[in-house]
Amino acid sequence: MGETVFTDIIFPWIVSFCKLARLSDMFSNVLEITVYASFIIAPALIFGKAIKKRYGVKWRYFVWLVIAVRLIIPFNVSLPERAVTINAPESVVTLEPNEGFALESSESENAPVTYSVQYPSALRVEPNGIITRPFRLTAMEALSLIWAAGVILFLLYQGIAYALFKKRVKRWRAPADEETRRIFRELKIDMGIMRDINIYRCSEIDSPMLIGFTDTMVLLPKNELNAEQLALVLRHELVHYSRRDLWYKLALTIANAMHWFNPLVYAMAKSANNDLELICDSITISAANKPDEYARAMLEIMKNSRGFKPALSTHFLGGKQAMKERFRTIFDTTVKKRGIALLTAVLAVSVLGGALVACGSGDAVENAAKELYEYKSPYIGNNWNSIELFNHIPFIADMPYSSTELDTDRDDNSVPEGYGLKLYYERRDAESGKNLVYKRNELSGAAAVFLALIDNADYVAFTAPDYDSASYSEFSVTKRECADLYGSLFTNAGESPENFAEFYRVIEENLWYDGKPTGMEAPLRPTDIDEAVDDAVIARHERTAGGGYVSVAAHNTAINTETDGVYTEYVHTLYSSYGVRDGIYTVMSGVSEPAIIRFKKDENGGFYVTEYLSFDEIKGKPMPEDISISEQMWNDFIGGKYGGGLDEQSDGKLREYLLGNAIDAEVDYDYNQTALNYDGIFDYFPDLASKILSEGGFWEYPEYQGTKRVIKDGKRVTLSTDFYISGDPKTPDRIIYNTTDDAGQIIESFTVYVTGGKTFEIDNTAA
Amino acid sequence: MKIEKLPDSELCVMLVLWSANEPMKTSAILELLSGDKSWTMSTLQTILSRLQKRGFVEVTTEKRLNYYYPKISEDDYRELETKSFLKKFYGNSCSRLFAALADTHRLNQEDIDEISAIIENAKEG
Repeated sequence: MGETVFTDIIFPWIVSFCKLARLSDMFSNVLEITVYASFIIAPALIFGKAIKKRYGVKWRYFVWLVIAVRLIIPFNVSLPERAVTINAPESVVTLEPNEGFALESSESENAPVTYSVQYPSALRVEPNGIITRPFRLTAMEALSLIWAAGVILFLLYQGIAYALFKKRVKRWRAPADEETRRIFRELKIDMGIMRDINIYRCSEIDSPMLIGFTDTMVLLPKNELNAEQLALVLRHELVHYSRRDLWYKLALTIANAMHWFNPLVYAMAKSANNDLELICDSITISAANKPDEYARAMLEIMKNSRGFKPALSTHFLGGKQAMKERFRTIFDTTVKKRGIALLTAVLAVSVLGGALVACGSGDAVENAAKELYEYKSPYIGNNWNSIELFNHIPFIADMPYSSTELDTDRDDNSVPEGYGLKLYYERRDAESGKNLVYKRNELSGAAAVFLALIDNADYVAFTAPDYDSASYSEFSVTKRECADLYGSLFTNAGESPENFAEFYRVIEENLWYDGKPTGMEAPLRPTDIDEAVDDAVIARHERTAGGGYVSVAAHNTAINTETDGVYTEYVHTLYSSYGVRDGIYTVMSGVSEPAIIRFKKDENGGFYVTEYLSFDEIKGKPMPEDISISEQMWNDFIGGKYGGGLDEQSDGKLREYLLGNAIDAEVDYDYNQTALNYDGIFDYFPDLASKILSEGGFWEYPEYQGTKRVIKDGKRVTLSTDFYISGDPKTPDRIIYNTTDDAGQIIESFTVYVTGGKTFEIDNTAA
Repeated sequence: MKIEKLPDSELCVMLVLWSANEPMKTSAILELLSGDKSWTMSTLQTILSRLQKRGFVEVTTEKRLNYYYPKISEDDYRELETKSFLKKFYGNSCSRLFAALADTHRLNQEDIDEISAIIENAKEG
């Protein structure tokens, strides 16, 4: 039982926490920072004493400050590899928003995924086929967990020790006598401290101290100091206050906590705390100019201490050496070169601080490769690892898949053969409702990365929306293809992190090109004439789609001629578009239109369009000489028998209809059938639509009209959507959405009135 | 007699009494306390009578005025409180989040002599 709780709940939770918080990333940054900071801490400690003779310790105060701040921030400042990335608009994948995709049902009907016993490495297969415990921590992640635990323990220890100590001194403090209070008041005025800092006697402490970040107070032990000594001691504490040294100490403690594994950081914290005292000593003495009295006051305090040695005080080993050093420094009358010290400090800090940032930056591509290499595995059957590897490929992060499937059965009839990862992509993002953009070349690049790192994976298959049609299609990248294309760069990539980084860089660099995304070979292939036609048609109609999308379903390019390098093509396209057309959200599918397009070839042999004659420009005109279709055919097409412009074919009626009625009109290619689709209301009431959908209600005409019972805010409610179509352009259609409780009481109600397909109104008062 | 742990307000009054070397008038105690919180005569009197009941203070009357003095010494009382196992946490050096004038730990007589020598040398030199 205990074991299952650990393996099923605690361990997965730790793993997901680790992944979510990207602890290992943070930890590797911390490691980098610690190494670079050590290169500054070590010389500052070693040469500190020598420099101190001449320049004092003020310079080091600044150095420690900069390092502490750097140590606290666990991020690296890195510039993106590519400042600007331009994605070719051709690669935009689009379609009707209501396009259905019955992936889930087909998945369950098809052969179920079975997990063969050959891959039990980290899997536990339940009888129902569900795989559990696919969790795995990389060594780095395990270390980062230990690191995080250490940080938390360190901070907890420091926090508790501080809280208990403060609670105790607060309990044991008593108001200081009038004479002490007077000296303290005068000092505050002298030093220009306006804030109300209180002073107390406290029999629990051995040394005068300043404590409290918000309720700052000065505490005095029970010593017999004369008034002069008392003034010096109090001045020292007030110097701490005016320099905000408590905050400096806090920063040091946090830096120490985050780098608890680095002994140099402990040494730095210790040295910094000593330096603070030395600086305050020197400021106090230079203000009061009584080094003898000051030293005697300190000695007096130390003599009267009870010599209490707490068990957990190892942080302050060597404390007495530091105390003796302070006494020597008090009587060190050599004048320190302040101006130079400051200049040195500023220079050192800016150079070193800059170096810390620059050194920490690294190379984005290299870092990504390093991270991905951690998921290298011999088995694709290690479900979690396989998926996580894919999830971590940076350049496909903006292309979320909707579901995945592992093909780990060699004996099935899957195509391609072997073991593989199948990914399914939806056209629309379930969360935002926005259309997603898939770039095949990037998916293919991701597949190559995956195949390079998973030894027994044979292929990666994608089912994704087409960029040029309403349908979804499957394409796959196989290990063999990658080996052919990339050669030893690919086959050796899994052997070492360096090899992989080299391979990964090539993949990354080849993703960004201006061609058409049609797979891995695309970067090498010039645009062919078919693609050039599609590009031209899309470019032509994008304007009329009014911000929507155009895709070319098919075109007929049977006839073309070449004269002096000019290729002429008679094209009959069948295109689809959706977008706001003349102020109306319009979906058109399969609009056919003849056109004449002329091309030239570029130096790579790719075609580009030089002239585009649309139907409007060629109708009623004689056939150009460079078109060699029959007279009969020209007349049939251009005369409108089989095709023609949108308005031409319907004698302007379609246009009128669209403008007059449609919210969302679907027009089939022969323009005879039209249908209204209330889906367009999505775009008019996005807030309402997303609210209804997020509650689990129905909001699609006409098939998702109905009722559903759900639990909402802990109560059982019924959601219902009803459509009342009037059939008369002057009488409004009504769409009513109600939330009803079990007693039949309406909790919430929306009625959308649609008049003539053009006027929309929402009424949200309960009926 | 069993010594009980005192609530903060009662300890506060005790600390004042301990710091004085002679029995104190109520008004004198109040004067010292007023530097801290807004104490009133009636709260102080309540607390003093509570302390008296606990056996912490003794009262003598002189010219119709009450004079209070501690019956339990500060050291005895401290002994009780510091028996807690959390004592080790109270040591100054566990927390670094305050600024102490001197690190008073781990100094023995030799160290103090050495430091005294440093001061003497400086004076001569």
